Amino acid sequence: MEENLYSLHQLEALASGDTAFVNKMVDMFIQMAPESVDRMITALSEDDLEDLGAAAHKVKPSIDMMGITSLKQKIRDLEQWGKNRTNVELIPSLLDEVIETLNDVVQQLRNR
Amino acid sequence: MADEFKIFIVEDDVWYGEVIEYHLSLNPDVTVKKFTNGKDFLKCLDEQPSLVTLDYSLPDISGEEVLKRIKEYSPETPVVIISGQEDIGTAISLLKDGAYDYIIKDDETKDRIWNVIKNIREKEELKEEISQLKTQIVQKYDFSKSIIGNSSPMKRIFSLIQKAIGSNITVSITGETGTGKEVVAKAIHYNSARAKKPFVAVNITAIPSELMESEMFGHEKGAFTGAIARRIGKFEEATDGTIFLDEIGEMDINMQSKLLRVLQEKELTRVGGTGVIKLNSRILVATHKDLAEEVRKGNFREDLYYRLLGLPISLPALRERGNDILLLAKHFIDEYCKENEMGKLTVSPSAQNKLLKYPWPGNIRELKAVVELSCVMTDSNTIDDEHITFNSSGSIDTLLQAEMPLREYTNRIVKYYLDKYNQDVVTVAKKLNIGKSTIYRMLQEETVSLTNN
Repeated sequence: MEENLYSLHQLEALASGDTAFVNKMVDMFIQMAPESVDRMITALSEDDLEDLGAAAHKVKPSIDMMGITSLKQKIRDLEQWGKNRTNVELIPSLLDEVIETLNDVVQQLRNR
Repeated sequence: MADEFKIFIVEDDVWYGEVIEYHLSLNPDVTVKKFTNGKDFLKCLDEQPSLVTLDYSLPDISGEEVLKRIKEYSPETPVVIISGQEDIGTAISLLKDGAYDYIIKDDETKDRIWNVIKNIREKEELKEEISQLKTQIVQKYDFSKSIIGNSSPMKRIFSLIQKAIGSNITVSITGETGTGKEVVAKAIHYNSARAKKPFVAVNITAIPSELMESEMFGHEKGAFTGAIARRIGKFEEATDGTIFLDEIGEMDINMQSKLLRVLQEKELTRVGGTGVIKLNSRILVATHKDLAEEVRKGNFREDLYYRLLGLPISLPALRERGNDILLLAKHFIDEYCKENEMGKLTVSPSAQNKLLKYPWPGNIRELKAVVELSCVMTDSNTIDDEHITFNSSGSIDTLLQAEMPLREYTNRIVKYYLDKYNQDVVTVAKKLNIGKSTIYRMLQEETVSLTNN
């Protein structure tokens, strides 16, 4: 099996043994991540980069807390680039990478 | 503090809100309520949360606007801004608008929120303690209890104090040392409408003249060498309250003109500052000097004198107060016995007589010291005249009774002045109107010495 793209270490530390809480947060993430993905895709297709940035901004804390380290910098780049309309030509490929990782994470979390 | 600590979390990121809620709910004293938008939250402001954590980027209303609305509704409610990114400019402007803290969403957010909660709780406890202490002080200075006296000069004083309490007029209190000028000032403040606001006492003689201006009016950072931070002056400290300027007669003539200007304009500027601060503290002054006489001598500005005169209260010397001496003695004896958990002490007729005959140059302060000593000296439950000893340092009578050679008197006087003026020969020579060389000669002959022995 491939390596986990996430780490529940932080959440577990916070929960200190309360698995119900960890499960609840994981379930919420599984439910919310696709919503964020949809929002970002729509924003890009409508060239609403500001909303793309805002969506990235919103999902950022959960990515950090879920220990998805490979996205830590990428989601920040998306946020900044979207907000400031910089590196516009790089945004579509970066978004693709982020979405792919998020989908993998959700898949891994489902099979946890 | 077992009181419920109510935290409102305003956070549009449901996931993150859940994390904060979970973390904060670990403490059983805390109850948490979550809101995902500004509108819902603002509707519940009347539930008076102990703390609000506010996500800066809400979907409906800007964080700035929400903060403004909270501060309008209840300025005391602490609001912590939680933001997804560090933005110094926004942080500063929010803090200026009254935010309690600005926290970034990262690994340390949770701990920082805890710190904030801890601080706020400590602050609340302190506030409660202060308000209790204030009530106690007000009770303590209920002036029918704090000022003792039944003599006719005191009855007149009481009616004057009553008048002073009922108005905002400046009061000038005069009287010999130890007659209770500060007690009267406190009685006026703590019985007036300003009782719950600060009473700030400033002893003019205790402040070096070069520091006086910054001490009184405050200074801005960098106003002069050593001004490393902004400092609030005594006048500002006494905002809405009372400032008591003790020994006003000793104020340096330069400072007098600065004070006069502040009193005339009813506003002040901190040293090195440009902003104007409205002055609304009540002013009480006291002096043991005859200010009118000082005005005649040119030591005190006449215009300032009239501005400060206000309602003059001239406290009688203890020797003019007849049987009050015994009332006060009894009060101090009872107080001493209570503090030291001793049985009650009575004063024999001969001791009473001795107290009544003495001129009390140190007035009530001296009386208190003398009777406390007598409480220690007696072995029974009666204070007799033999237990009462006067060793008044300031009394010329006592000094004369010692019958020393004139030379010895001179030595004592010079020594007294040297101690009083920090061994400053030049000042002492000026005060006594003698040559510096006279003092140096005495020093050489070692009849007096400069050390602090």
